[in-house]
Amino acid sequence: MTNSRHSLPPRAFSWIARIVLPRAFRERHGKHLVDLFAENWLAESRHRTKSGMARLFAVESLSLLRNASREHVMVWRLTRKNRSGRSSLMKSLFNDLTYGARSLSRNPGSALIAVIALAMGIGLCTMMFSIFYGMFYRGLDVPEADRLAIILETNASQNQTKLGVPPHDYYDWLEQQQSFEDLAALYVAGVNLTGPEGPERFDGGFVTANTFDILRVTPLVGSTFRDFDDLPGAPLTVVLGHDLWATRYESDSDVVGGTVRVNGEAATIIGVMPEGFEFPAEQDLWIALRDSRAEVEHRRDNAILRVVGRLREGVNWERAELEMNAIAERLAEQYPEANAGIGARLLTFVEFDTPHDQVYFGIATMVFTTVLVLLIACSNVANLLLARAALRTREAAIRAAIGARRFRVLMPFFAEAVVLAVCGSLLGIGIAYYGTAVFSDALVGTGKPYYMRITVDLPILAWVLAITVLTALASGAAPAWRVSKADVSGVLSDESRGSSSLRLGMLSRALVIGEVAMSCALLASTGIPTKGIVKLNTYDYEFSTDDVFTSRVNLFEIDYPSRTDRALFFRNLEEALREVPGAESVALADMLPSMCCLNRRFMIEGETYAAERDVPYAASASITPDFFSAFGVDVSSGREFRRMDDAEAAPVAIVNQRFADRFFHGENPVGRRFREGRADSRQEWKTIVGVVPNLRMEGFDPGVDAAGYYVPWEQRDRTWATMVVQVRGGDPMAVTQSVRDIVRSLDGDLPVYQVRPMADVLWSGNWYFTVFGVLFVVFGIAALFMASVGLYGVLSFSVSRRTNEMGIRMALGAGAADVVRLVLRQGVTHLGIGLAFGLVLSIGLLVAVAPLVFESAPFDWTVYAGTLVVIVSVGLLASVVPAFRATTVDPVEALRAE
Amino acid sequence: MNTRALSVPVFQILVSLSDRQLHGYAILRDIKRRTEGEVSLTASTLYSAVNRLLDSGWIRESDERPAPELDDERRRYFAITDEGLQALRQELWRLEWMIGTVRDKSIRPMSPKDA
Repeated sequence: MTNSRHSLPPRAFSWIARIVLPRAFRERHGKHLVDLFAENWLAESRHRTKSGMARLFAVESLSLLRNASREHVMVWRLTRKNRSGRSSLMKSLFNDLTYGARSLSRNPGSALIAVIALAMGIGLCTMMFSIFYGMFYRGLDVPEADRLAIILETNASQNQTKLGVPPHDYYDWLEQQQSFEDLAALYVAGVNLTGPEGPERFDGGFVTANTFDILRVTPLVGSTFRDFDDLPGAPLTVVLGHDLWATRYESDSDVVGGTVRVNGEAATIIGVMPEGFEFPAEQDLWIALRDSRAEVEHRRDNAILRVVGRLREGVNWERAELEMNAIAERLAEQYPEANAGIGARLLTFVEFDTPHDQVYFGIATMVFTTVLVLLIACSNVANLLLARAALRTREAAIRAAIGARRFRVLMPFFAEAVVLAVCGSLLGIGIAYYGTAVFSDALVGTGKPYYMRITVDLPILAWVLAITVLTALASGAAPAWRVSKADVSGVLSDESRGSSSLRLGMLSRALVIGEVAMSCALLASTGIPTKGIVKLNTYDYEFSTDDVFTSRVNLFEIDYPSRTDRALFFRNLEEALREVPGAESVALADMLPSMCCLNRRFMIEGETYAAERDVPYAASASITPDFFSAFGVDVSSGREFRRMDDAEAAPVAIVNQRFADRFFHGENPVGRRFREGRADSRQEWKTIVGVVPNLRMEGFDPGVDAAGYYVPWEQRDRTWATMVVQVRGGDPMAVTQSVRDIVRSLDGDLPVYQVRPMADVLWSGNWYFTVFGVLFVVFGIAALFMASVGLYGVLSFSVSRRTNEMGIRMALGAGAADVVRLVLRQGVTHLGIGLAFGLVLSIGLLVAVAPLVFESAPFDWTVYAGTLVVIVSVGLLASVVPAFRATTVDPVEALRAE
Repeated sequence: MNTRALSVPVFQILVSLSDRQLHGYAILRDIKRRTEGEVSLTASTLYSAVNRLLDSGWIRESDERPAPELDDERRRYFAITDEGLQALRQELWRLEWMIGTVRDKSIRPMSPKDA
């Protein structure tokens, strides 16, 4: 029994009992209660398992909590009965709270700062955690989403880890695999819908019939795809998304069973999905993906599918991946020329949708920085409360001296902390909701996965609130505890020790150094994104971005079966667009600057390549002759494309500067020739006729090379075109209606989509630099604000405590300068130590956030210099003000207090 | 018939103490044995009930002790008082009376385990 008393559970039980039981009960039965538990524990431990013992402990502890609260209620009822008319416990609590609020309002500045600090800490932290969670952890909102896998192909020899799957492989997998309940396949693409409602363009998902069953989602109206809907040559069927159904069909259930033309082909609408289901990204509708194996020439053709599987009960991830790879190996043996080197890989949806790990780390770092903001906020509040506690030692001592119970002595300290925490929390919750909503709005239309919802997550909010409120209470508790332990007569008899005997100085100094370090790190890591934003907004794109209208059309191959039909349509379109009022220059292209194109392999005439993988590649675009003039770009050497560079003429190309530098090493490439394809290519040689600036053919991804080339529109067969109209003066979007009218006059079934000015095109590629940059700037300002008030608060507090000392020094002949120096020295020391820590911390932060920054260079000395200047000047200011205040101390006043 | 029913812990503690004096752990064991494990009080429930029973004067702390060699000096022994015995007998009467009120109905008791 003696032993069991000292084992952990009985001790824990006794600890809980000491905390939760009312005092009277505890004094009367506490020891026996704990003994009884220990005795019972020992007896039970002989014939119970470990988990049984854990259950026993849980049952006993919960029962203890329940009984304790019942005893508390009884005590409360008794006291209320006994002293009806006099103040009850609740009433005195309330009194303390109002007292706390009132005493805080006597010094509204510092209280307000503390509340704002707490609010920013809570708000930013909750917001960032919610963003982080929403982007990377919430995952799919379907039953047992953790058993869903995306399966892609890999090619180790080419370093490819996310290859699309061709239909042949999908159907072979489907037949051979055992690990999954079922496998679905899908790809996403824009689709044209035509019908009585007019032509419109939507984001479609082409999915095998079993997709919805694998996801275990059910339709709102009608049905999802039936088994036969994806058979080869099956009549086309579609399932509508909720938004499309609501906007295009006004939520009319009768639309199910009706027909609509999808990319020119008649399709039957068989169902409508519930609101919010937009699998996998922002899909408006789903089209049955029919088995097309018979239509393709080679096994690897159409390798655009992603395969989705639901793991069978009892099969784990690793086993499934092994099996899929075993199947891939079998296929490689069976079809060596198509499948050699092809492996399979399982990914979660989040892994698939996360652009790259760097973004994950960048955002994780931002989460970390908000934790820093929260820490700074908490240390500010702690500082404030410490400072106030020091001033109240006497008051507390008097309370204790006239016989107040410890609880009553401590309450006022807690009361202030509680008032601050409640106000800060309320404001912080507001900031969290607002910030999250703004961020969420910024993500609309960026093609994010449908399940990625950025909302304030209540568990996260609760967690952050709990931490903050606990910190606030703990910082209330620290001074309160010391005050309550202080030697009452000592404090009362010696005026000066009223504050200094608390020895709060150490803690307070540590807080300031920590604050300076964290703010320094935050500011430095803010500086880089700020520079990035400034750079982005003042960036010279080498092409005009303000006066260009863009939009797209996509031809149905059913209506324009041959290359000549399509070429004719586009020639007519370009001609007609020239007549648009206000149009300065008109062009068609298969891309836009910053939103470019696929890479193609090519070989330069006269060069030899040792291996297949040494054959270079570059971005490849096709444009009509006026493309460069529409963007106000001059050809830097050679000539532009001309009308006569048509399908019959000799193939030509214009390359960008990076292409020329990289593949011709500074020599003028005009006149040189290259041809597309690999070593065995039989394509015609293209003669380089001109060089243009880079024009952001790489988009905004720093990992992509900017090299690229252009070919004449008519020398490449295209089914879609981006219309580019340079508009003279004013708003480029003013031509929208004319463009729509022109397209309708040529073909009434063609939707015009992605109608936007060039500035929006750029934004769609670089929004996240701005969004994350602004977030960082907000964090940085918050940190700077908090660190400055924190520094100021602590220094002025320490000066005020030393008023006597200053008075004596000055009475003994010290000049104002000596006093200032004394105070400054303290401030500067704190600053220096804090800065040293902060710079080290900031290097780590900067490396991590770099991917979220536009054209970043993590080791930018100007940012460090700026950070140092800001922190040092704020720190000095915060030190100088109290220092000068110290010189105004009247020696006589100071000494009288002694 | 206006006697309030006794709570399970209070009732069982009174029953355990009805014929002898016991300490806390012995009460727990006695209740467990008599109810064949159906009623198993936690330490805090026992002492919460003991507290109320002491306050209402239905039990008291006993001065008598067993032989020193059997005793553990930390233990407190409890004894039922006359009021406690009276309350227990009233409860027994109440229970019997309750059963009596259904006797001419054709309803049979059922163990919760069979539900």
